[in-house]
Amino acid sequence: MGEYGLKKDGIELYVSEDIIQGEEIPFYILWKRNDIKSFSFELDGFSSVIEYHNVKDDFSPDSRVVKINDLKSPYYLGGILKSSVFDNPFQKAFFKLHIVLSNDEKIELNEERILYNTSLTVKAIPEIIKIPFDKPPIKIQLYGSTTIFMDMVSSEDSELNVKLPDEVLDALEKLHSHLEKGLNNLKTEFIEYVSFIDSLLKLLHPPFEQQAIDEVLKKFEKVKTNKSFVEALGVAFVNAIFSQTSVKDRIFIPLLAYFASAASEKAFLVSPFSCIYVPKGGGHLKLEIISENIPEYYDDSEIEEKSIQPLIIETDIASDKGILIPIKELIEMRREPHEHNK
Amino acid sequence: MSTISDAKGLLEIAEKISKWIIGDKQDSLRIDCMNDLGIYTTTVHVESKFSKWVQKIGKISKKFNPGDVYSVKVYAINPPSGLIEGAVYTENNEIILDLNKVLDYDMFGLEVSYRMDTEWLKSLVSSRNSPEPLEDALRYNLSAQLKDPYSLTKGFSEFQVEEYPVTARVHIQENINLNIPDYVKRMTKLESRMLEDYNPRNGIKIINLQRERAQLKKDLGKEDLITKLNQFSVFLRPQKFVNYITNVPGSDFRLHNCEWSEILFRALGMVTLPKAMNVTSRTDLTLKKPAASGKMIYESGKFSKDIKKFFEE
Repeated sequence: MGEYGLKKDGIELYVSEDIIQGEEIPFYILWKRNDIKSFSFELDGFSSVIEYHNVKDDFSPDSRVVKINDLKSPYYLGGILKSSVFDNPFQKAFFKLHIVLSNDEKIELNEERILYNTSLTVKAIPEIIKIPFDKPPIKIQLYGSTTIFMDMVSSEDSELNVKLPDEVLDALEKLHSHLEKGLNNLKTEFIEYVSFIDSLLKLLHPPFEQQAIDEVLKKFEKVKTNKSFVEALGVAFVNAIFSQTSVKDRIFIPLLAYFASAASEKAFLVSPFSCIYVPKGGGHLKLEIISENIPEYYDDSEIEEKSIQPLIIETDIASDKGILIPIKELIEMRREPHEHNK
Repeated sequence: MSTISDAKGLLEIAEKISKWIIGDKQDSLRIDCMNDLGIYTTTVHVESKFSKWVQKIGKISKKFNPGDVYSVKVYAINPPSGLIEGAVYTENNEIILDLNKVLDYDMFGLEVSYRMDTEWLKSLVSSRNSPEPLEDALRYNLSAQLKDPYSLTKGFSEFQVEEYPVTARVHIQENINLNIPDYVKRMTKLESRMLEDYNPRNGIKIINLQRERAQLKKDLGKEDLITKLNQFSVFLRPQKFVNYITNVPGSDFRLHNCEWSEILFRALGMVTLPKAMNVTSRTDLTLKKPAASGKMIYESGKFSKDIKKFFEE
């Protein structure tokens, strides 16, 4: 038996820890006794057991009861639990395991977990923001312990839009066009990988969906065995980076982006240079803040639904000249201290 | 070069060899996840039944196509003396097994390895690591469990999945951002602005920027910014970072290695600073021990302190 599971009467129950709301997590039960008749589960905070391990092919998972005859081999039962999403970023959840023995005696093992998340609320937003201002006029409060990555998008009905500064756009465009050229050249040399290269090219034109990234990663698994193709692909990237003539674009902009990306404690901006363009006279701003928890950056992310609700902020900005305001100067992010926050 | 992509394929091949060898023997099947190999091993007692069978089949006991197998090894177990010379050799692009060479021993082992499909290996096990430490600031939980151990063991007395990897993504950008001294960030901004404003009509502005740079240079010491940052990216090398990770005693996992995790298309620059480290730990799973759990500690405080120290030197 392992060191970390919950142990009672010769039975070990292991349920993963550090769970983010919406995540699918494994659990397992190991035992050494021969008098177990059945297992059943009582869940709170977890929505269901979505997969069972070591059960016979004809086992029907609907009943939530696993009889000892349902197992392929003795002394082990595993599975995957689905956790739910809550408004509370520190939601308690329970996994109760009921075991019935052959003499009809019962054993119960209870595990308690916290399902973590981060929620965003607007703490202060003026009806009208006048330019210039000293301190960020919009204040957003983060509550919870998970590391999040935030992206800002202007809504379709917003008069003011999110824009990257020209110098950053220039650098990106140069990189894109060189990369596009390089990748297109590869298509003639490696005809068998045209479909992969096309998926990769699609990624150069945002907005792109997670699905598009997954598709590229999936296809890459197949092409990566061809060493000469992978080498050629690498060269295309390196060339694109080095054919940018400016040292500033090549070195300083990415470095600044790296340094600027932290917005608050355990909160990062996906595009740290994003600005709001305010024309002379100003206009109405409707901004959507879309946040993701860290595991959604995994290649094989298990999270299906968005754990964090997008936050919409609306205000008017007045200015007597056309100006580009960095979002970092407009919005302040603070994580509220909490006994769970470490 | 062929790879086997399911349990059935490996079991069929292993069973075929197993049935072919006549005599008193013990079979086992191992999946080596470090090298993506499926390994059939049999330990054979050289007694009269086996000897007679070997003599009957002649000098070339069996031929293997090098495209199908990764390796074939024959070694002496009793008396123990390592690989048996001449028992396996290559001729006309075929791997030849000559079992006559083992007749002088009491017991020998035959090991045939096949390349396994990596995706299939991954599908055997359900594993997880903490997406980030939440219960405890430094601790990552790891676990791995076989989805269907029974189907892998069919017909084999021993079965093992060895060195199954579980990779935790340790986010280090916050450690770096918080501990890189301010003058480095200011200098980066300044250098960028100087290049931006490089135009003869901007003379006075440039002179001011240069004056500011001269001030900051005092903090930076001998090296220029890029050299210092390049040295820093060497400081962040995975082989060094692995020293900030320990596996808690009693853990079923062993710390294997560590590498930079970069997000595609983000590595725009030459000086690359990683956002995260991928730390891989490995464990073994068997029919008797189908599930494993463990804990890994990331010494974040020590890492932060050492970043500070690096820039002070």
